[in-house]
Amino acid sequence: MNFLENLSATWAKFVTPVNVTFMLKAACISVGIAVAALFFGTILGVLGAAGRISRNKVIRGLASVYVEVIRGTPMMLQILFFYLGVPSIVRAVTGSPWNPSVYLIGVVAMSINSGAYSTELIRSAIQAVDQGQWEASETLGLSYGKMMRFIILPQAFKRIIPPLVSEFITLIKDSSLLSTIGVVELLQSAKTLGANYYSYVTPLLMASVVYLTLTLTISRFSRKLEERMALSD
Amino acid sequence: MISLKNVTKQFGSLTAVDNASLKVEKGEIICLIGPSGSGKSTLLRCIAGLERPESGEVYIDGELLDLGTKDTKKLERQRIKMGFVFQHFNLFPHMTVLENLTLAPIEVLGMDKAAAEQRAAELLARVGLADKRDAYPAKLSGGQKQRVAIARSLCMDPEIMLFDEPTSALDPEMVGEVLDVMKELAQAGMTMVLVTHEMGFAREVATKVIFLADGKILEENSPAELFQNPQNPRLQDFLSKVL
Repeated sequence: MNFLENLSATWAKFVTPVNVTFMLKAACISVGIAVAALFFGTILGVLGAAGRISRNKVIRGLASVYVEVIRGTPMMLQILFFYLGVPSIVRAVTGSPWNPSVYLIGVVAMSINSGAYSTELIRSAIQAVDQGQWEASETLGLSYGKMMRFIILPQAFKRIIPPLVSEFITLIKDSSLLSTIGVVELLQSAKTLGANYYSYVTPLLMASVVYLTLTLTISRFSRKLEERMALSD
Repeated sequence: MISLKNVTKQFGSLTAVDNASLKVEKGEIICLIGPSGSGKSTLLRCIAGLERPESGEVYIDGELLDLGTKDTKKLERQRIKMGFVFQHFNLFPHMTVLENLTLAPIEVLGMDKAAAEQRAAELLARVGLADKRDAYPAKLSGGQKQRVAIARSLCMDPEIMLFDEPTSALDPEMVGEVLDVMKELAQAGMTMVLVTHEMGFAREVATKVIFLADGKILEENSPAELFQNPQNPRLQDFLSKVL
């Protein structure tokens, strides 16, 4: 009982306009970073997928190395590499110090990470398009580029959307890792509030509510989208 | 028009087509028959450039069909001389019937949209599907899909039509409507090579019938001779089972 009373008292203490605004602003940062990483990651994914199915061995090899290295190492390590490693490499090479913003580093690290997952996702969606579609395009004389543009990609696109939405959800959650390099995103805002009041339970619960609101809304939207696309099949 | 010289195609240790040579002249209607797995579809796919033979050559109008060429323009030019009709239709599911028909004429032949649609509408009428121009393939029956697929190939004005078991995936009551379209094409003088199990069609329409087994061409003759007087014991055995 004591605990519950305590909780409701601290809840009232935490849920003030100032604190809530602070946390929602941080949530916007989380979503913004996830949107940017999804956007650039998808571009990287299209390039990566083109590389993975390329007829050129070297390009195919490079794309595979990219995918395996990124998927085979922790994202935390990749973030730290861009935060701690890359600036000192740049300094060693150019001779002048380079101090990019942690937000830029966050977006770059997460885009590159997401790009590797998107590569595989887009590659498998392209290769899942029925062999007969490729053959029909060939016998009609369509060039490789036109076949991709008019026949294969429009059909692959449908399969890409649902997993891309779950990738977006993953990115929102994983952007919390950026709190370790000082990006003031949703989790970091909860930690800051906790530190201010010497109490972490309530701010962490508040952050959970915001995360859940975001992820549940997006997955609901995704289901609706899938239902609509299933109709046009 | 088309000639194959000693074409051999292997899938791993399986020899699907074994040293096959064949000539197709303008106006001929050649039926490839044989038991399943005899290599007739693979042979047809070698002609169309969908399979790359391990050895031997395919010539289209005297020009070597080279799938490994860097000159992709030339390869595309050779390919569109041949229309190909697949067993499973392979219509583009995200496009309407009309778009299926006009895509390649617009994008490959450079026709303007109005002319391509005009031509597509004529061909749809010819296969009896004028009213389906705005339908999506998913809404069509198998027989209708195959007739659309035939019209799609015809839109490219091919010199020769290749059919790979065009009626095998169809419900029995739809076979006739597709065969009728093919007969009409034959009567209009189209050069055709087809893989088929429709012996009645082969007997009635073909100018030449070729029998394959184990990837080898074992017998070729006019349909009257081949069906009445089969020489090869494999062919005799095959005909006794299918007729």
